[in-house]
Amino acid sequence: MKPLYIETISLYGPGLPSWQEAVHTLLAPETYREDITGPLQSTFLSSGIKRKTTQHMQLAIHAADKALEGTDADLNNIELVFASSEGDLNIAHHICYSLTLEGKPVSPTKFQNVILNAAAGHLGILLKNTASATTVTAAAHSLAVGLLQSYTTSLTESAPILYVAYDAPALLKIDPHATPIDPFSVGFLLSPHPSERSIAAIRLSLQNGTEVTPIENADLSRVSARSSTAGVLPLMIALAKQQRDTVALAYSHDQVLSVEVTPC
Amino acid sequence: MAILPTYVTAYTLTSALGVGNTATLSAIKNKTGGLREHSMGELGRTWFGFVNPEALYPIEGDLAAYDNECSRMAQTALQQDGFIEAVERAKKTYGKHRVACFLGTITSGICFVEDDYQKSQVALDLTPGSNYTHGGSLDATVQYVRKSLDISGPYATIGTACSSSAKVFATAYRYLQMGLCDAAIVAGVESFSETLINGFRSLGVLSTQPCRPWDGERDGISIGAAAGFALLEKQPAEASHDPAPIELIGYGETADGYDMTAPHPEGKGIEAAMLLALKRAGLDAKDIDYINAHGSGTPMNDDAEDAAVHRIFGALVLVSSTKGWTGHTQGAAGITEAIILMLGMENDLVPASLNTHAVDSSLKCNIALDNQSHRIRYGLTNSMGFGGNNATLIFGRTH
Repeated sequence: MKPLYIETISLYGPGLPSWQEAVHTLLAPETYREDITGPLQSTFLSSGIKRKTTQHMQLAIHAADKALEGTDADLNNIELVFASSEGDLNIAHHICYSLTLEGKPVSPTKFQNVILNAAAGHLGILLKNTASATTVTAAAHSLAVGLLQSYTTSLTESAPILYVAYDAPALLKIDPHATPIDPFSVGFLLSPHPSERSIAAIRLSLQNGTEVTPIENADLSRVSARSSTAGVLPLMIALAKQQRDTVALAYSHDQVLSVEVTPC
Repeated sequence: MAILPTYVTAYTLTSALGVGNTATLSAIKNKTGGLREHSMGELGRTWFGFVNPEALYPIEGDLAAYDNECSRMAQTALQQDGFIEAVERAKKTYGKHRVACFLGTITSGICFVEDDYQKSQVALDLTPGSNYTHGGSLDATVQYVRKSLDISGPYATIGTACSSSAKVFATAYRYLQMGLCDAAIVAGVESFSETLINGFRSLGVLSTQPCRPWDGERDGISIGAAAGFALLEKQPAEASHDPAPIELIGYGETADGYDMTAPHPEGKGIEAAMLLALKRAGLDAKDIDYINAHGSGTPMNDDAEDAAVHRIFGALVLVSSTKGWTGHTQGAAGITEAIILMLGMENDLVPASLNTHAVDSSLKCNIALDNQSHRIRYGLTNSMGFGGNNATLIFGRTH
């Protein structure tokens, strides 16, 4: 398969407040402390945007901001691929609850934000971005499905892609017995062509099987299992190590997404 | 930039016009629209385009856990027009792991969750605690389709509001060209949901009459439900076709970057999508024989789309919105209108913009007010969604 180049990375999760800090933690996992969380602060997350959006959307916007920070990407014309495991289930809960009340008083703001592409829509408005924006979902496999969507889009269209995956805890749970979700987001600026700032080349393929790359550190392994997005951690460890490696990410009930990583 | 051959080797539509393509075509030829008046009690009256629930096939057997209206819509549609047979042929030719499925929806099985909330004790800080894996998950419908058809190729649910099931065509094209699959099922499924009805009611855009796109008296949308499926392959289903098979020959995907619910007032986003699709198709504006517009029937949407279409095509090309027939089928709208376009291509039929009686004098496009017998070699369809998300598809018969 053809290579796709990772130009920048952003990361946010419990004990992993930024990609820069996470690199040190992922290389020395014994230093990992889950209780260290960073604020969701970035240039794009002004008070105005925060008023219009929820934590779920803010995680995505934060990841996008940090992945684009300091780059020469054309912010008005960069294609977006977003992935989240179910959209904003707190809003879905609020709407379903409103439907039980007399007069079914659904909030128009909540209605426009319940759509899966709400975060990409808000970011697009913020950036005045007129390029294609696609949001995908695949429950627990959303991270890998979105990465493959980005890979096929960037290489077929020969265009850079901003890929953002994000998940947030919500009152409404699709599976009430599933592990509680942590706020987690990851962003990659991806390019079909190498550049001076390229971090690594990735080649993706689908393989039969369900075994994802294990994480040796028990704490990080536990975090990685808590959401679709956090399932990116085996890939982030490979990227932090800057070594040639191949990791398997959960893709479906009978396939994994194999990501061959070659440092640049 | 021209796209590589991508054949539509099977397609089927179930909507308010009926179950399957024959019923759909018959309804259009007989000018029998699918919209019906519905009371929302004290909340007013509006018009919907829903599929008769009694016409839907229940889900039984091993997949019974998926039995909800959304999956029933999907299953009912799959059973029509030889679609399952076409998928079986593709599986036999390529292997089931080489058949992909990309599905567009806004709500998937949210109706299942809504029903549960009505039955359960809920509050702002209390949810029912039920398991919605096979019902309420946005992933549930595509998984139901994959399991029902026994395919295991790449997949995704695309949620870009009302452009969702137009964008699945572009996604499928890319996976086919990357060699990740040899055949791709593209789909759009949207069922009745109180979330959509009351959400649009809260925005004040539900029509008080059967929606009248481009009409001077238009006042909003009529919500609809539909399930549409198409099978895309790099090779035609048969070695020789007469007439030529339909191909996806162009697509354009853009965003407005302007507003979450309102389109760019000059239609800049959808204009860019149409231009991209024309460029990929290697066509000029004059080559397009018919445009199936997004044409939602809201004053703002039709204004914006009219301006964009007119800037590119002038007033010569025939344009209609078929939402007056089916209602606005939301996440299924893209494929609903793509299939109506393809039915028109196969039957030399430009469907009327049903319920449009007198075109708004401020709008400039050439709106088909009645069904017209007209050869369509190249047809274009637009989709516009919340978040300023736009998609244009062009289908043609080129070989």
